[in-house]
Amino acid sequence: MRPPFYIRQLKSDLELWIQQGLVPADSRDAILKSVGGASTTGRLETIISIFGAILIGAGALSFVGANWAAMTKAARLFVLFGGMWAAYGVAIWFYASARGLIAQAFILLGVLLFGANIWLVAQTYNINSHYPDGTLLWAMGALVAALLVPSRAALASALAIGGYWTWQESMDFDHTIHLPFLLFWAVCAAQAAYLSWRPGIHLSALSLIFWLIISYKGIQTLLGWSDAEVISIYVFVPLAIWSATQIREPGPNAISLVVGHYAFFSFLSAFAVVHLTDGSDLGATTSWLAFAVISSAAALTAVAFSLQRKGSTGLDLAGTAFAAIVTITYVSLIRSHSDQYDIPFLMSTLVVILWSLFRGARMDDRFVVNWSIVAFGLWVLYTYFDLFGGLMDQAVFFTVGGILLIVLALSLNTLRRTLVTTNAPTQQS
Amino acid sequence: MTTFRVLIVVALQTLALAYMIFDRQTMLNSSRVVTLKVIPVDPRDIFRGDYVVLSYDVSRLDMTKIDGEDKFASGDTAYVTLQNQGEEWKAVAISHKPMASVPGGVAMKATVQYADAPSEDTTSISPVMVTLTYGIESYFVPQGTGRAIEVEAAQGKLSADIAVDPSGRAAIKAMRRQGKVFYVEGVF
Repeated sequence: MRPPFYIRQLKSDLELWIQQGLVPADSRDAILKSVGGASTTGRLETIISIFGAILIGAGALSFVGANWAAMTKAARLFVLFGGMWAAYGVAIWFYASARGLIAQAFILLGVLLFGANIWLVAQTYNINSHYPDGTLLWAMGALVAALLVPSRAALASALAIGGYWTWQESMDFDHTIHLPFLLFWAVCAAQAAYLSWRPGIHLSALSLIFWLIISYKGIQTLLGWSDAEVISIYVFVPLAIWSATQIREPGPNAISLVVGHYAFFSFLSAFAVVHLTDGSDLGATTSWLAFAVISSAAALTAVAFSLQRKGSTGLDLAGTAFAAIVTITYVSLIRSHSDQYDIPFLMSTLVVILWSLFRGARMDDRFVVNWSIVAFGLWVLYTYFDLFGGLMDQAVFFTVGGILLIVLALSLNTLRRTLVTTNAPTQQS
Repeated sequence: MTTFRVLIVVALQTLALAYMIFDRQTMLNSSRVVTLKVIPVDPRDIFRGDYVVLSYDVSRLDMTKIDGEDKFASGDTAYVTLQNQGEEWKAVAISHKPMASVPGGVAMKATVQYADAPSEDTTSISPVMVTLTYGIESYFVPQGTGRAIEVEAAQGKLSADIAVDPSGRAAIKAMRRQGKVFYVEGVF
């Protein structure tokens, strides 16, 4: 599967090539299908149907909530069980009529009504067990539909319901860390990859990030690490993943692109946030040091592979090594409420932002470029408002920093011109 | 093929729901029934609508006044042995495993919410409290009717018949107002 920008460009080029007689018109759909860009006819119809399914599902949940006493238990069960069977029945009918996209909306409705039925049964029979188990059962029902049918709509609902389940377990029951969610998530993510479904990959990445955020305290309790050490997990792991996604395939791959973007975003955010956290007065723990070294080695190995396959450059290798070494050094040195390493770390953050900017520009990756620019803006604001006590220090810092950046930009421009001039005769010959 | 797969999904989801009902009915069919006084409040659940939280005399126990063990942690499973004393069922023992030695006793399975640590001083007369849930703390009501039930419970008019299956799991079998049954749990 190729990313949307590639498919949009290919569609435009194909029209031109067909007009010029370079490509037979009959081949258009086959070419687009081969890159995952088949006809989008019926998309609007599907989206509206899914909205309808969500509204009916919300209506069913409200119906359960109302606990309408005018209906007998038998009648209530008949309405909701019957509703669920009818939704799946209509889905089967649409599949049989070769209208698979609309059928997806009814699969989603079936999943929503299954959830409504769980709560209805719990309400009707006053079942008061560990209530996240009800949410888990609902999520499992959605996942079964996602795997067996297979259904993208059911997969999206499974990820959303699964996220709610892990939220209930983590927040309502104060679990140290809710590891079973990772198993559920892995099955969902694997199915999204198997279906080559880009929104599913987005949802999988978002739900994992959501879990990592709500598991922060749990991870800390489990490992016994300081705030800075725990936050550094969110630096090292995404850095390794971002590096791994740079091991290029022959063409752009939508899945690795999406995963790479989330990894980059997490890495850069966490790298900045490390600065706001405290270390332990006893220094870094041995287990953290081992983790930091191993994950840094994994990131560097990935970049080295990528370098071999022309996905990365020597600058990327240096940038990755720099980010890893700075994180290890900073986290090892800082203590509780220590601010003596603020300026070196802020300078290092600027270097990492600039490296990200270069990498994004080289890969023509607008996501990386744009977020690097946003990160730079935030860095300037933070430095301006928070770092220096005296305005004179601040003035010197910004002026010197600005001059250095302009010199860097001019040097790069000169370097680029030199390279273009040097290569031109070679290309002509 | 897709039809067959969707039918499997329908069958699995229906079986899951049917099991929930079957399991509850199996518990309700138990011949062991205890009647407990209740003290409710009136919250609302996003999915399940209005319900009354039922609290019982046996929801909070002073372990110095009953037999059994006194070391529990939050999340532990405990078995509270109930004994019929006149018109009321009272807790007489608590332990990590069901106690068979109490004549006429019914062991009800509970989850420990909070527990005080027992005092090291053997002469201490301070209470050592444990707060427990039995899975019978919710009673679902039509929207807006929870307040009336709460008032009745505050006046001491409400009690619940609790069915206890052989493994100690409990379920609300009936609700009573001044001793008279006004709600009986059934399949339909």
